Formats: sequence, C-alpha cells, structure tokens
Amino acid sequence: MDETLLQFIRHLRNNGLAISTAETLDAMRVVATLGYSDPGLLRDGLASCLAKTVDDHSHFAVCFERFFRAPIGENITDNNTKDEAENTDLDDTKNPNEGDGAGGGEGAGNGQGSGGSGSIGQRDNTLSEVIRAAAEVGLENIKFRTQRGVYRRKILNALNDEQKVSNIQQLQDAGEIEQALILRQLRDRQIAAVKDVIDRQLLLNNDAAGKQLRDDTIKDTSLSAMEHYHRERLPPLIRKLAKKLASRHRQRHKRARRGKLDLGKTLRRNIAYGGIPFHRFWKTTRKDKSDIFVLCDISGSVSAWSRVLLLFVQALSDVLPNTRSFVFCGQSIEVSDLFKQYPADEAMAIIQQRHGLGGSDYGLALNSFWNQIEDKLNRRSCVIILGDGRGNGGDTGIDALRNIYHRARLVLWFNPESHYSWNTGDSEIRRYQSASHYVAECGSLRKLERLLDQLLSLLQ
Amino acid sequence: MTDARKDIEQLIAKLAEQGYIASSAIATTLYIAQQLERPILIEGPPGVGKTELANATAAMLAKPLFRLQCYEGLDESKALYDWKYSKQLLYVQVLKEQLHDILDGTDGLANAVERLHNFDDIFYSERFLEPRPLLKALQSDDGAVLLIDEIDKADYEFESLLLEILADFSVTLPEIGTLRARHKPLVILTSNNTRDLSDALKRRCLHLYIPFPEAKLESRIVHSRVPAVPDELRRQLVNFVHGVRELDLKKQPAISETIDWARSLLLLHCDSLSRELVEDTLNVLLKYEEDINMVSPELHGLIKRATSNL
Repeated sequence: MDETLLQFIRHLRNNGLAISTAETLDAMRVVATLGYSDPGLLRDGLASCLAKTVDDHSHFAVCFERFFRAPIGENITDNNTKDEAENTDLDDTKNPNEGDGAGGGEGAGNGQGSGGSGSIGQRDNTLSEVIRAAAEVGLENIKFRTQRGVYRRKILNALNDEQKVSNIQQLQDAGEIEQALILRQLRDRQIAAVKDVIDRQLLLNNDAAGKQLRDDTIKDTSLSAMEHYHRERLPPLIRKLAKKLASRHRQRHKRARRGKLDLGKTLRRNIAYGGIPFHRFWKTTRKDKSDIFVLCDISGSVSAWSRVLLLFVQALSDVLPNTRSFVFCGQSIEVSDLFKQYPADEAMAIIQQRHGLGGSDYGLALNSFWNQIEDKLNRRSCVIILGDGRGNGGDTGIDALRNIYHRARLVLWFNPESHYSWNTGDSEIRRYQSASHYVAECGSLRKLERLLDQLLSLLQ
Repeated sequence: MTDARKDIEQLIAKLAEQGYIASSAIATTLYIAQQLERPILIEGPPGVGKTELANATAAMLAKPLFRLQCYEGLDESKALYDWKYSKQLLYVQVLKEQLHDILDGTDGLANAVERLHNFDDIFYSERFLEPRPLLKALQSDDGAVLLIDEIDKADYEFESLLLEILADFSVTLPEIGTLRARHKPLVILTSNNTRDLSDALKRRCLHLYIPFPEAKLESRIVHSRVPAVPDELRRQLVNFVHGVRELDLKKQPAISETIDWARSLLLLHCDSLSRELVEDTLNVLLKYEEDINMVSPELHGLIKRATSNL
C-alpha cells in the first residue's frame, strides 16, 4: 500500500474534497504510471483523477503544494525529509531525484544539488526520530487543537523523555555541567520539533472534525441567536444543503416526454400503407411547470432569515426554474434581476443596502405585491412569504393576501418566530393564517431545509 | 527525464503536428486516460479548444471520431441504438407467405406454436439494430475516439444511461444482451458547466479543466493556426486579448475569437495594432454590444500596453 498517497488523500478529504474509494484506486494507478519523481507531472496527473470541479482544482493545487512541498522547521531545506522518514520504503524512489531536480522550475527549493541527501545533520536526525515516534502514537488521528497537549505528552513518552530528564539531573548532580548542557539543548530541540510536527499535522487535518461539529450546530441554532462570526459560514453551508436537495429532487424532475401510442393518429396517418403502421405517433405528455414567487421581509427583525431563504432559493435554481424574488420593507420590489447580474452574496448586500431600511409595512407590501403579480398568478403558482407578521399595528393587507390565496395553488407563510410567540403583541399571524394554506415555523436552517424538501416533493 | 515525461513530451509533439498546442496538464491527462482507459471530462469556458482536442486526438491516433452532440431531450434511441422498425415491418409483411409453408402439416394450435418456437427472435437480432454514435464507437473494429459534446445540455437521465458505457465500455440491450466493446474507445466528454454534473458521472471520469491559456501558449496556438501573421503583430494581438480578458465582460474572447481576429487582421494587411483598426474589427473579438461599449473607452490604454515592449 502506498502510505504517502493515502495520507495525501486524507489531507485532501480534510480540506473538503470528496474523494471516493474508486478515485483513490485510480490515483494509485496514476502514481504507478507516473512515479513520484516529477512533481509537475504528478500534480497534473493526480489533479485529473482527484479534483472533479473547477473549485476542487484550486483547492487541490494548494493542498498539493502544502503536502509535498512545505518544509518543516526553519533550517531544513530538504523538502523530502519528512516523507523520507515517514516512508522508509519510498526512499529508493525519492532520493535519486534530489540530485536530478527534474521539474524543479516550480520555485520551491527542491533538491540540494549533487549528493545533497548525504549531509543530513543532527537536527534532521532529531526530526526524523520525532516523526517516527509520532507515527507510533498515531498522530494522524489528531482532531482538535485542544488535543495538542495530550499528543505532545504521548510523543515525548515514546521518545523516552523522562529518561533524558533524569539523565540530565544525574549529570548535573555529578558536576558534569557541560555535558548536561548539551543534553539539555538536545532535549529542547526535540521538544520544539515535536511542537512543529503536531502543528503541521493539525494544519494537514485542517480541523475537519471541528468544522463538521460547527456545521451541525449551526443547522440547529436559531438564526437570531447566532453569533455574527458563525453567520459568515452560512452561505457555503446553504449551498451545500441546496445541492443535496437539488440532487434528491432532480431525478424526478422530468418525466418521459414520449407518452403512450396515439392509436387514432397512427391509424389515420397509415391508411396509405393499407393500415400497416409504418409510422407511429406518440401522445406527448405536457408537464405543468410551477412558478414560484418569493416575498421576503427585509426589515430589521427578520432580515437575516430573508437572506437565508433568498440564498437558498437561488441555490436551488437548478430545480426551481421559474422563480421570482421580491423583497419589502414598505413597497414590494422585485429583485430577481439582481440575482442574475451578481453572485448571490453580492446581490444580497446590494438589496440590503438599497431597500433594507425601516420597519415593515405589511399593508403596503402585500398590496403592491398583489398589483405586480396579479396577471401572472394562476393555478400553477406557488407563493412563499417570509415574515414574522408583526406590522407594528398598521394595515395588515389581509385582503390582498386573500386575493393571492384564491388565485394561487399554494400560499406558504414561513415564520422565523418560535411557535410560542405567535399572536403575541403586534403579531397578526393568526389573521394571515386564515388566508394561507400553511404557516410554518422555520426557526433553524434544518427546519427550513425540511420545509423546502417537502415543497419540492409537492411541486414535482 | 522519466519514461512518463518522455511519453508526454512526445504526445505534445504529436498533437502539435495536428495543429493542437497542448499544455503539459492537457497532455498528462490524455496520457493517463490512455494508460488507465478512463474517459476524460473536459470543462472550461467556451472556445478554449475542448472539442478541438478530441478532433486532434482522433487525427493523431488515426482513428475514427464519433461525435454525439447533446441537447435537451436526447434519449437512447438517438444516442445509443434503435430498432429498424420499418425494416422489421417490411420483413413481416414479405414473410407472411412463408408462414404457411412453415406451419404446413401441423395439426392443432399447440403444435404450430411449438414449431414457431424453434425459430429465434430473428426480428430482434443485430441485423435489425440501428447503431447510433455510442454503439458505433463500441463496435468499431480497431478503436475509436468518442466525443460526447456538451454533456451538460443533456438531461439527467441521459447521464445515467452513460454510466454503464463509461465504466465498463459495454451496453445492455434488453432484447439481445450485453454488448462489449471490441476495442475500448477513448471517450472525451465536454461540458460548459451550465449545470452540475452528477457525482456518479464525475467519479468515472478523469477531470480536466482547460482555462484560457497564458500569453505564451496562446501566441503559439495563433502561430500554429495562422502562420502567416507576422511575429510582432501576433505578440501585440495576444497581449491585447489578454488585456481585454481582465475586464468584466459578458463573454470573454476565447482562443477561437483570437484566431478569427488574427485572420481578419491578416486580411487587412496590417503589421501592428492601431486604434482605428482595433475599433473597426472589435466586433470579431467581442460578441455583445455591451462588451464593445465597455472596451471602447479602454482602448487607448489596452493598445498602449499591448504594443509596448514589455
């Protein structure tokens, strides 16, 4: 088994590239064909079977650089030292190339000239000892930053550190100060090396487990309670969830275009051939496409949620082709074009900046929304409204909503508020409930995902 | 230099003979695809030579190229195989008379059916099979290059249909059984990335992303395609195109447009870029009114940068 390659693949996975077993096997064959000697070639070859999207390619390049090139410790110029120590079985394939320096034009200090590998100093010996010890205690399983201390202790134990300490003590007691000083320096160097190795491994593992934990937490946290710091992680997470939803629903998206045999037409058209059906005609199935209208409150109280819903809907554009997005504080404004022109994140910022000030006026919003979509609304339309239904005591616009309700196939109201605070204070959600098919609480990302999942199944 | 590197250099040279200037990444992927017998999925902006790579490869290997252009609604009867329905029907009509002879002398329905069973499903044999590009590529006698162009335009069902072919180079026809490729064809898929392809498809392919080339490479490409363009003009026009690509355009000029532009400039007999010339021929390079409007005010700077000796 090629341990270096497996470690590299683990490193890629920790950095978010999804690599299957089949691709690992492919990569092994690639390495067997190309060998390790030519880094440029190896990079291009591995990239073709391990990185499967454009984004992946740039990630891959960074990871490759970090894994195969990054020097460890400040004074070590030979990049292969780590791999060398880790994989003694690979030494034969690696060492000859140091003098060769093939493909070294990539800029990294590759190779030390002729006979470079012969001059491994004491410092490198320390390092390789440490790396060997690290492999013994299973350092590659380190997951969280907080485990650093534990692993440091484990590695030092494996290196017989206690023995060294007592040796130094003994020498000191015996009065051989100089000898003790040398030993102490060696030990300090070793400890520094241990620290380096652990940090590097953490970097390679990229805190993958920690990220997974954070993602899971974010999905269940109410957005209003979420720290600003976590909100920045939302857009990628939303895209990931949307991708999952899209792939689940895309399979059923299209039905067979060719329906049953149109017997009458077939017979009629084949009269010329004495009724023998040389040409066949099929009934075509016509599938209704749903139009989706999304209306989001972007006033202070629920703007964060509107952002999430709009991003989600945009990310789902693959399976929801006819979507029009509207936002309101007062007047409802269509923003579909902005999403076409700019990337989703940027579009959201522009919307927030242009339209996002003030408290919500549901009366004005729903009336203007109705005026804009009246002629487009039919039995295939589905309307999603996101808001907390708190109109600050003003006009509720319930009549406009009722018009929409009668015209559309489905009116959904997503309320980010918890169920318990509905109908308290200035909340008019009970009245809106009477004019929509379903009012749902979407307190967390996971709930929203479930709602959209159900909606998609319904629309198919 | 290792063996693999030597082979790849050779591959680049051979592709160059066909007029295709390949970067090292392209050649490496092609080499691996040949060694591992894997399909290649090529992505990249339109006009960087994705389809051209398949053409050049087929010419280089001296093998026939089967091209399948994908579009929405493409199904297996157009891509894979179909039954020659009319021929089947015609044979049935002609052979109607024969039935009497065959069934002559049988008594009772059971015996007649029994005798008919002795004849195979002749109407669903390979004789009545109408092969479409995919099947043709599998059936070719000494290998072929199969180009599945713009796979992202096809439906998701079609991707699933491709999986068996891409993984095992075989097709299962319900009436006949599994047909295996006589020689595994080299399969090249291209995608303009208008939608995400399924992971299952990607897993079976090598992935190659072809970006817009660097100036040096593009200059060589132009040289190979339009050799008559003087060196100085070539350098200037490639630099100019690279400058244009840095702007935020609706559609970036691709290599094919650079080549077209080089040809037009050649027709106009000019040896260096000038403002009037560029203004008049900008529509060769840019395909949208908005893009032309965006580039026009920048022309002075762009031309100055392109013609300076940096």
